[in-house]
Amino acid sequence: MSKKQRSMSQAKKTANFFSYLVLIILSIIWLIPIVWVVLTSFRAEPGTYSKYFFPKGYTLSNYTRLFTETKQFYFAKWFFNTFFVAICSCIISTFFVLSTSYVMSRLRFKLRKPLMNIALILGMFPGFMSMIAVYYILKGVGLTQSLLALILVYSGGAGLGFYVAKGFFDTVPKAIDEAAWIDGATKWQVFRKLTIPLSKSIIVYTVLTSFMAPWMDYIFVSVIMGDNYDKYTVALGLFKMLEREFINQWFTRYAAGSVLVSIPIAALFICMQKYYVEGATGGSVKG
Amino acid sequence: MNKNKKTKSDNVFTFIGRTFKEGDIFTKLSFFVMGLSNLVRGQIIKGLLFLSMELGFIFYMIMAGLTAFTGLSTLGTKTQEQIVIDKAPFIKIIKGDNSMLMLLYGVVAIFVIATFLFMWKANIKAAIEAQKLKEKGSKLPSFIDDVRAHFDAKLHRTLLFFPMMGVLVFTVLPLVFMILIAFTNFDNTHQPPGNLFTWVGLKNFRTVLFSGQTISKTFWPVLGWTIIWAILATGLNYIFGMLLAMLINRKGVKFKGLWRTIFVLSIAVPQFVTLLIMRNMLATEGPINGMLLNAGLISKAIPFLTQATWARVTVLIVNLWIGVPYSMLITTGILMNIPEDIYESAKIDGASPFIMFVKITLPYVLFVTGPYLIQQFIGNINNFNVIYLLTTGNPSSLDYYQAGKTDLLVTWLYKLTVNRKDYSFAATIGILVFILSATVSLIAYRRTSAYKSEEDFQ
Amino acid sequence: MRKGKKVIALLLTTVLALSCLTACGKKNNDNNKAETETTTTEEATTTDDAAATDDAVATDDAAAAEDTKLGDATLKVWGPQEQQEELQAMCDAFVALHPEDKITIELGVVSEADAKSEVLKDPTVAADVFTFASDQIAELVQAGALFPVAMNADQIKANNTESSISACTVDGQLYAYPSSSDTYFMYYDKSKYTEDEIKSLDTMMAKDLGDGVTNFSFDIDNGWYLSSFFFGAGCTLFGPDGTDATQCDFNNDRGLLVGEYLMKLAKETKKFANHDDGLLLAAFEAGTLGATFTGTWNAEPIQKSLGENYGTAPLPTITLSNGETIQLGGMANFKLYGVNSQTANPQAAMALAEYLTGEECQKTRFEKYSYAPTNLNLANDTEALASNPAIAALSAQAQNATVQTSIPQSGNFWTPSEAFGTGILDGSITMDNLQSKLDDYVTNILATLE
Repeated sequence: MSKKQRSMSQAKKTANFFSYLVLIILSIIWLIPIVWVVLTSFRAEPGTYSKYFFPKGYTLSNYTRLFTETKQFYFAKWFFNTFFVAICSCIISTFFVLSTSYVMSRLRFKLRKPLMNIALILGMFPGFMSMIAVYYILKGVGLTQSLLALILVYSGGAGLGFYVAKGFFDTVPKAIDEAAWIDGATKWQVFRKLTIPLSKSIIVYTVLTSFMAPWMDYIFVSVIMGDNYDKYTVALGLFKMLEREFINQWFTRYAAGSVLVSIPIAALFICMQKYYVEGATGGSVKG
Repeated sequence: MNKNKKTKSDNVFTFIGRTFKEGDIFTKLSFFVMGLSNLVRGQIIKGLLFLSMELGFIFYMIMAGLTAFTGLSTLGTKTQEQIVIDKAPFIKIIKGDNSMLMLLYGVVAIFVIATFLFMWKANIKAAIEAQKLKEKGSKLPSFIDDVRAHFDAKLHRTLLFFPMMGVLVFTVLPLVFMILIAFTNFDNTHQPPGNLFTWVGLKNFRTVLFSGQTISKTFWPVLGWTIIWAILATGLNYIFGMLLAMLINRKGVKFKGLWRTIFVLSIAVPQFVTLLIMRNMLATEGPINGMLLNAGLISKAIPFLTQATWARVTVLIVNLWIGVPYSMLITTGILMNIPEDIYESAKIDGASPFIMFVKITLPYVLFVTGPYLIQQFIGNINNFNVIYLLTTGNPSSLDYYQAGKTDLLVTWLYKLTVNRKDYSFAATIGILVFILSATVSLIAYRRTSAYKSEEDFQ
Repeated sequence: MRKGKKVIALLLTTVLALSCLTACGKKNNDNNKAETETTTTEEATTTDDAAATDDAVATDDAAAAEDTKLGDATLKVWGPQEQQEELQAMCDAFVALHPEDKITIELGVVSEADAKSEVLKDPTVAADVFTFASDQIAELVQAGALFPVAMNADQIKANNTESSISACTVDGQLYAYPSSSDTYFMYYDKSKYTEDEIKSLDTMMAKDLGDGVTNFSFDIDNGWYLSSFFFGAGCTLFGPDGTDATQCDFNNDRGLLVGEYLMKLAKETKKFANHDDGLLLAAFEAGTLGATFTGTWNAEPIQKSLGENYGTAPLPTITLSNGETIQLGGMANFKLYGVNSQTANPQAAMALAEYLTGEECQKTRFEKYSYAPTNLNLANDTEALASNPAIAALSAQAQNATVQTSIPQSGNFWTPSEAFGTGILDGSITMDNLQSKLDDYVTNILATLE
């Protein structure tokens, strides 16, 4: 008996050993690119390519020069632009997504099903084809080359992304709402006082995804901002650093910039991981 | 439910006809002077709103709308011209029509007209309602009452208004514009301001699909790779993500949070950073090849991104790096929800871990994540970032027109617009991509239980 | 159901907003219309003696003097980011030259490479004067985005090199102002090759430079460089004068010899490498590269890396498999300034473009950025040029270079060239299928979408 138990735990130990081994190997693979960006950002020797993993010399100057040598790239300004746009657009987007998803989940009206189907269809067209039209619409209302235009572009279509949040609201028992209605609360009060506080995870999820969008987009910004360097966002700025004229001199600073952009997003993301999972699975999973 | 629908929505025209018959003189006049019925019966603000809307519309139509709308039929007739004049600068350029703007303004005009018609119908409805309430002798709702209703019974309108405006202006309107472009010859040789373009019907679709010439010789193979890519990328990410989640969930494994965080990092770092860095690392002269060469493991650099087959495998693998953490996150919780006793009883029946995975885990997770999987598939058909940032669609091929061996339809159409300004063909391809995505998801959504049993949850 | 006023109110505002949007668009059209009406009458009076006036004006000194009065104007200029300061100084100098006119100049950042897409995106807000690479001229002209050079055309033609002027000319009409010449040539490490050796690529390749050192590299999957081999062998792109969109003979027996040579070159993986800019700079820095083809924009970092061993030369000769030795050609590119066809102040814009490409500004660019001048006074000043070895090599090479063609079809050249270069590199092009691949190459270059 005891012998059998021992062999069992032996088998379990080997199994655990292999689990850890696989996990460690995978972790290394997953971390290599990220570590490499960080190492490159501290690399003293310039140039695009290096044939080795660890730099030969380390320096902080890639970071400092990003902020001090502002003749060609206004990194700090772009960083602030992006931050501003991200905050504004994530507030608007969150409001749009929550309203739409709440309505689609909780309220019943004639056009509900058709609207949901239309939203599904609209999501399937490749978005950037319509860039040029968006540009001229913004120009029509005199908004091109402004941060407001960017905010509108990033949050304007947010109402379409209600599916995940709707799935979440679907899991919140409707009985709570009904009880409140019977007590004489208006639907608006129910939405504001009952539903919103219950939806922390989906709010965090929506905020997170919409906050990240402006940090990642480089296509719409370049169309909207054109020659106005002052109003670029970091993503586009970093992209410019990789152009033929700059890449050799700027690659290590590009890495430094990338690290700086990634830090806030990654920190936010890791802290909010739990909600993200709950949100992404529409509440069917508690993270 | 279906029965209800039919009686409710007796068609718009019969409603209008009936109202005209039943209405008194003011209601009848409301057909022409919007809001009159409300004004006469004391709903001043409501009536004025309708009226000012009508005036606004008329003003718009006179000032711009009519020309914009009629411009749609020709998309411009006057080409830009140069004439010689006798004083400096000796040449004068007479601006012509801009087909692209005419098309856009035409689309805007259609939207405005549609909105107006919608409001006009609402006006008639309001007119007859006011009349009937008055006849019955009941009090007409005041403006305040109406506002209040919009935070209760009609909350859906209030909440949907802004999001819908946003979607209309920033998604639907541009989309209609783009779809219409596919039926014009707005290509490299018809660029404004110097040239006009015009309607060509279905010609672009014929060229792309059946011409057997340059562009259709590229379309079919690129479509094939797009589908293969979408299937493999979705499937592999899903399976490996689930396996990873199971590994981390194993009872003996400690620091579960730490492991998850490590993998989640790859989601948290922007793709344009990680993918461009990977491109650098995987380059022929990049550090990976450099280290492999130095270690003597290979004698010649591996063409990760420069040779067709290698590049296709590489993008799939890098996509695993990007995608596996997502599916790991999604499946982790679901896996924990599977009742433990199912496994126990299977174990007693002598099922091997593999059998348990195939017979219990997979079906359960698939059941819950069906819609997510479809979304991922559509997302991969349109996976612009991974391909464009990693390979830009390269290596380019002599068999293709303006495309490379890893190009998906989306990246190809992006190149067509940016490099060649062939908007009409790009729009055509965009529509075809849409048809592909729509077909796949239509079939799939119908089959997932989540779609059918939407109401069951509540 | 009762109607909601709030919704109505909001919709109303939207309708109004949309009407404004459309009204704005309309207004422009109206302006255009008004303009047309006034100008058509002018047209009637001027078209008859159009040709005559054109000639008369160019020679009429009195008229020219009158032209210096430009009137008040606000102009926008586009230039690359790294030259903004210099550009600002040049524009200030221009304003100072015209004290009697109120000229305001505003700068925007658009590089030469991005100019075409930025201008065509929205010509009405694009800069009045912008700089662009000469391979964009055909598409810009076709789209009607460039204002023809109507003032002082003869003088500009007389002041600049013939090839630069031909790069600015489309269908016999001058459309842009040449600012610098921009072809590529050879950089080499003097410690690895002697001046005799660099005359022939085959001699260079035959030399043993030791382990880990690449004898020679160039960006083979880039049509700009790749074409130098075909042009060297006498092949032509778009006919002998580069204007026939249906002609390209890269697949004739000469092209076949070139293909063979390139395959042989690519097979020597120890001695030959496919280097883009980043790689060649890194390789020079590491001292592992003998020679390469690239342009003046890399002159500074290469000079820094090589120090005393910094060498430049025109492209070398190659010996084809039939024993024939040919001089490599090359593609001449130019940086040009153009005036936007939609500009409100064509006269001032033209004067500014002319100034920005004049002798003085070209000289500044030559000194500051190693931009090779196209102005004849500067280009013939061999002494000054020799002070900059890169420019000296460029000037020598420019004589062998083929001017990049100025027809829109040339936009189709790059992707197939990249594909052909990739095929040579990855070995998918072999002796057996070379002819058919060359045929595909040509088919793709000449492809039309219909």
